Amino acid sequence: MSARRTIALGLAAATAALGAAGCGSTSDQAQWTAHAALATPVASAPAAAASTAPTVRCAHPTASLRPPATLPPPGALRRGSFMARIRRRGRLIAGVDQNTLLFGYLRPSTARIEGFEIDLVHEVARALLGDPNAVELKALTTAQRLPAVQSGAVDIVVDAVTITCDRRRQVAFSTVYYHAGQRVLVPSSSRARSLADLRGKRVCATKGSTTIQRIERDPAKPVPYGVDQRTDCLVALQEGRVAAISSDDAILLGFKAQDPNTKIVGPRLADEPYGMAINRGHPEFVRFVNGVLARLRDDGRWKTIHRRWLGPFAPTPAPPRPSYSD
Amino acid sequence: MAEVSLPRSAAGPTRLGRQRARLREWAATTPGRLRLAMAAVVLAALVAGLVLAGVTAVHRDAVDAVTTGDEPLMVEADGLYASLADADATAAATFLRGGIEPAELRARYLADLRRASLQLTSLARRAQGSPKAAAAVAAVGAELPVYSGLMETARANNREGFPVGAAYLRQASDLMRGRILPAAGRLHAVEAGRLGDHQRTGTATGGLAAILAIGAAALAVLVGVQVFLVQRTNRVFNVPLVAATLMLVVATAWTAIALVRSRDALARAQRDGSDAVQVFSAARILWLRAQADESLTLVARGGGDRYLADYDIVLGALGPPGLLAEAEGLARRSGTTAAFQDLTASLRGLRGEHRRVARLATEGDFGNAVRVAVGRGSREAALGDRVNRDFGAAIGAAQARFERAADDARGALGSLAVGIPLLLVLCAALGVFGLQQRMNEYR
Repeated sequence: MSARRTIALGLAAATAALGAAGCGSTSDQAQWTAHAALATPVASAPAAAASTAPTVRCAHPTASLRPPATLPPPGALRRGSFMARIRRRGRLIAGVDQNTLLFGYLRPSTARIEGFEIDLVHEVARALLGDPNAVELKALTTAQRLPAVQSGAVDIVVDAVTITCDRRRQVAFSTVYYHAGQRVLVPSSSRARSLADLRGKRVCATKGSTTIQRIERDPAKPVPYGVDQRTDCLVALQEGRVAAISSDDAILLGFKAQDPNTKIVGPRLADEPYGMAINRGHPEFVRFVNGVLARLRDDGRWKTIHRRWLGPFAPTPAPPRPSYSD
Repeated sequence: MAEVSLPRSAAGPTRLGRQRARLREWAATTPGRLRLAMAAVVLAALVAGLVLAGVTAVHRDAVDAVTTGDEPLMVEADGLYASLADADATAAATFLRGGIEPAELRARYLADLRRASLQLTSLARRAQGSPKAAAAVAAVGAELPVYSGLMETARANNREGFPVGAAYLRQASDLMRGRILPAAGRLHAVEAGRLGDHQRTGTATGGLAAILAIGAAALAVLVGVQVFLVQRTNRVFNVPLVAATLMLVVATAWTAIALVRSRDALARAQRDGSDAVQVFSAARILWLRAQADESLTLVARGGGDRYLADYDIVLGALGPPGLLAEAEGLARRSGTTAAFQDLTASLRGLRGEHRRVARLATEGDFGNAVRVAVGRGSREAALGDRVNRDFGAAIGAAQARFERAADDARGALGSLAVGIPLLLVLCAALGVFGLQQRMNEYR
């Protein structure tokens, strides 16, 4: 009897002890929360919007407004004109590129934007305000270029804008200040002399660009290799992942400046005339800028600026011939 | 059939039956009963001793595995992860400072890489038991030199002022985020999983139940023997047997109490220690990823939308209510709420600075965005340093709590390894001695 009671007591004690021990139990919740948080997937690159071929056609897309016979000196601008407003403000506001070496590039060591296009902006400022440095440079992304002109956030955009009929409906353009064109960059050791020699080889271009569409359509059937940002192409070339890069020669010149072991080959696959974009409401400013460009062409400064930036990498051609609509 | 089987069945029962009958006769005598009782007592003490020692050994192994094996390994895996994430965030921030990089940032990047290499070597040695961990270590080891090569190319180009440097930086960082950090994450998962398994073994209630059950059973045997003695000999107490019972009770109670205390200490080591180490480490790693995101946004100069998006995703995971809510609960439990609130205040400040940077970057004003983010005297950089220090302190404090509780978990088991055999051998010996006294009365 007493033995049974002892056993019963012992079991009761055991149950009590187990119950008390329950307080010390643990859970994996913290561990799982930590692990799930660490496993948060990295955001992927947004799909590049495929650029579409121009839909609008026009007779002379590069034809611009004729400049006055003589440029008014900075002190003699017509009152109430757009130029007079800029002069009152004291500085020109220009939208520029900051990512293209030699054309418009923010040099990290100096934190200044510099290049061929930037020098042209300084010349416009000199003509307008008498001081080449009376200019505020606003770095724009590609998508911001035309809206910035339309909204009046900037007076002028000098940012590798190719003149097209489509864009002419949105903004006014100056005469052509640089004639770019799609070409091919290969390692200096390459025997390829044009896209035709790259049959079956990988050719790099930015995803969704018109360039990559042209590579896809090329009869030589090179293999298009798309990247998110165009400088990724130079990495791909240097790492041996691609045989060539196809892009605007303005960009290829910048690549060549970064890697002397490359060369630009072949004919222009497409013309890309660059113009300065100005709000359509300011034709007098278009004429003024065209006057500045005409003077730069005539007095040889266009060539000087070209030689200064692009001379080490390409022969300096004659300045692009202006075409006027009136 | 009956005729055939008759001789054998007649012979069988005769011999076997005789033996059985003799045994029954002997067992019915008082000396026979006493001998049986003696065997029962010895057997009870022996089985109880084995179970007690066995359960204690299993528990001790789990405690040792958790405190000297898994947890340090998990901390090291966390450390590797953090070193890699810090290297990437530091490299991107340094890149933004242009050609002439601040010496302290360069030193921090190099220190991160060196630490990561050492941690990797150590983890490679210790991860041999698990093929999954070994594969993860190999993946990190294979890609890390490629990463640092890309980073140095990025740096050389950046010093020249070449934009292709940014592309190399992006490649390096994509390699880190796409391949190296996920491998470090897999390693971390293996180590954390192993820690969790041993922690569960160490805090399971099965062992305690077994101890109490066997203790009660052995007690029943001893009490039963004593009841029998009272009935047979009219003597109420047999002092050695009472002492033997006491030994059994002490051994069982001691083991049970030690086990409960050790289990509680181990549970505390997890709750207040290793859980907080894991949660705060994960939070720091996420935060470093967000820092790298911001720098890469600025490096990309307009092409960095995916990094801005990643920043928001990471901060969503960090919370509150995400990981930081868990961390807040842990801080409250360990009484470090004040330190935690300092940390979250700094993080809030950083978020505000980031909004400024993001706005400037969206406007295309990368010069000023960079100044706000990493420039000389930048509030964001100062807050970042503080957050880094605070995370380090929180993880250090949690690790110290873990180590204190781990010491308790080991200390609670104390001299059980000697005590259990000693007490139960004594129990058996006293039982035999007590019964032998009664036997002697029948000679």
